[in-house]
Amino acid sequence: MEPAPNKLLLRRLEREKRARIKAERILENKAIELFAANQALEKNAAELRRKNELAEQAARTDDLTHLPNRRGFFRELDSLMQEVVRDPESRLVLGKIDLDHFKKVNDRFGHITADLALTQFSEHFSNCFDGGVLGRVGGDEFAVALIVVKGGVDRQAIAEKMLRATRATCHAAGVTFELTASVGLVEAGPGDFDIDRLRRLADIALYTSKRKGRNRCIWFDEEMRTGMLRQSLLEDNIREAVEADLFEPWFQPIVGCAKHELLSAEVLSRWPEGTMPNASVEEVIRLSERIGSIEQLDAQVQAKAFRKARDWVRAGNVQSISVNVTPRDMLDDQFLSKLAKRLRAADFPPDHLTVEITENALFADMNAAAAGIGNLSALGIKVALDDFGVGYSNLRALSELPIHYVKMDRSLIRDIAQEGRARALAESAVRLGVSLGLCVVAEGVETKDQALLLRWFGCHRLQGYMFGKAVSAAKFNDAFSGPSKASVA
Amino acid sequence: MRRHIANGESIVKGIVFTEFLEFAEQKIGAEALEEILEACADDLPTGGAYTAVGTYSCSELMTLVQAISTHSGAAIPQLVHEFGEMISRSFVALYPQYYTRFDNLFDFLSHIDDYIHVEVKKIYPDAELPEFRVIERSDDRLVIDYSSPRGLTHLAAGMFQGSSDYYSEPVRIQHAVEPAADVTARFELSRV
Repeated sequence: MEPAPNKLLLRRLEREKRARIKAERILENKAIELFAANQALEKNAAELRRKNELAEQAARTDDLTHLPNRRGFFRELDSLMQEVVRDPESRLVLGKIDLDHFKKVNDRFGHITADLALTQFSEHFSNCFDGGVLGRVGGDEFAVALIVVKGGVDRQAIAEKMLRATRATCHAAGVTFELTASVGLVEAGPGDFDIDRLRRLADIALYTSKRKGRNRCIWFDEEMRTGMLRQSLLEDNIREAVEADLFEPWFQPIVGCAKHELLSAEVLSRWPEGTMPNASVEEVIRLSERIGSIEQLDAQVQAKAFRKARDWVRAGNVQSISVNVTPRDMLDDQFLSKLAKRLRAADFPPDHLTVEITENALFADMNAAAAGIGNLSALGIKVALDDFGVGYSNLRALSELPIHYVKMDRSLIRDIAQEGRARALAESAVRLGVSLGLCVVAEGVETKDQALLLRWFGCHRLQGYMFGKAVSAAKFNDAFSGPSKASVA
Repeated sequence: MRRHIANGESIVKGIVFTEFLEFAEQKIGAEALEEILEACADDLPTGGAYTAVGTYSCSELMTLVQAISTHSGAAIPQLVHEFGEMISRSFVALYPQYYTRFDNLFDFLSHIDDYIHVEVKKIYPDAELPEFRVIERSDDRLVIDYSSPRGLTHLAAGMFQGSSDYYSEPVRIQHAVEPAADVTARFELSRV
């Protein structure tokens, strides 16, 4: 027979049961509370994620064109690279695109129109060039990336397609204008992915495209890199040489047309031997302009030239010397005062100085040019129009600007002894200068026949290898202090 | 501001009740405890059915303490002090992390409010916790104020004792003669 349940135990059981039920109720309520809190948390987290994604998306998107911005584009590029890594047969193509002369659109039509043009350009590109990712990576800079899956990259086809896509007609604020772009392209396979390197190579190709005249699409090749390295080395050397004041004035004789007597000398900048390997004068000058050293370089060379030539002028060995002036100088309000200061410092008489100005520098703004020349003339400085016959050769400007000399470009002179047409052209140009009352100087004269013909045309002065290359001040000095004073050749 | 249950009475976490019943059972035996619970049924709205996750009126605890004291003949202060020592041991077993975090007794007692009670509040936001404020501290002496609407001074002293046992740092615990007006009790702990 089972023992009667202990009364005490029953009471305890009953008590503990109640406690358990109470605990269960509490815990269940707690669980519901937790569940609700968790739901709210998840909702908040989802909302936060959505906001973060939107913010992230906005941070990767260009406001104007809605294309990926720089950050967004390079992120896309990164994921394209991962795709290429997964498929060893595929290739990645990266293109850097710069709109040609877009600053002019800004200047001429204003920012609103320019912004519309950027939008239209990006739409046009996207319509014409499917299958790639386009991004706006700067003000008027775009980048494109695409994957070529199989069969290799048809460079020509891509370049042509790219060029079509970058030639856009824009209609904005009642004006219609064409946009073109310079494009630099580079391709890479899974083995050679280094995003910074690819960007650099595409930039090199883009730079080359601009240098070759813009509105073109150029693929990167190793020669370009060699060229860039060489250029960068030259630029460093130029900076160092300017810093150390190593550039020197050299002097090329300018002689009378009839007797070939020394009348004047053009000052040209030269650097110490060995510092600019295989570089031409034009290249050094162009690079000096590019790196912003040209003003300092010119100032140093001119100061030395004025000091060295001062005694020649005083002794009557030469009537004058001429120095070249860049378009930038003509736009510089301080140019005239700086030049005058240099002349004073060297005690060089301004009325024995000629400045040679290219027509590009003069014709950009005729009024400003006339005023600039007027100011130079007021100091007694004469002005020569340089490189006449190349470029636009604005004849009206020739008659209207108060210039003293016109220098015929060597390209006009080169074939006059061989070709009737060249001869006719040169003769007309010389006679035009003469009839306008200008002193006409022919450059690049190398043969007696050329010299004779030019004399017959009525040319006043000659300059060229026939009469001497540019030489150092010491050699130039020797030429007229030695026995054969009549000729400097 | 302290929170109270609906009738305005102070509340106590259920674990104090479950531990107290455990203590009482050890003290007077299971049978006697059940009889006391039955006898006190009118004064115990819960009927003595407690769960550690619940919260109950402090007056129920007082009823139980009184009843156990009467039954056992032990004075209430002594009984509550003993309970404090026991619940301290239970806490060491249940929540060792609060003890192991500190190297010594004084450090532990100095951080009840700013660490242990902070953690307790995270789990039990409705818990009404006493306050412990260090007034003076040296290597050998700690003066600490205890403030609680429940006025469980002897429970606090017992818990100090239990903690001292855990850290094996014997101390003499004395009540200061006159604590400040808003303080329930001031304790002075001196190393022995």
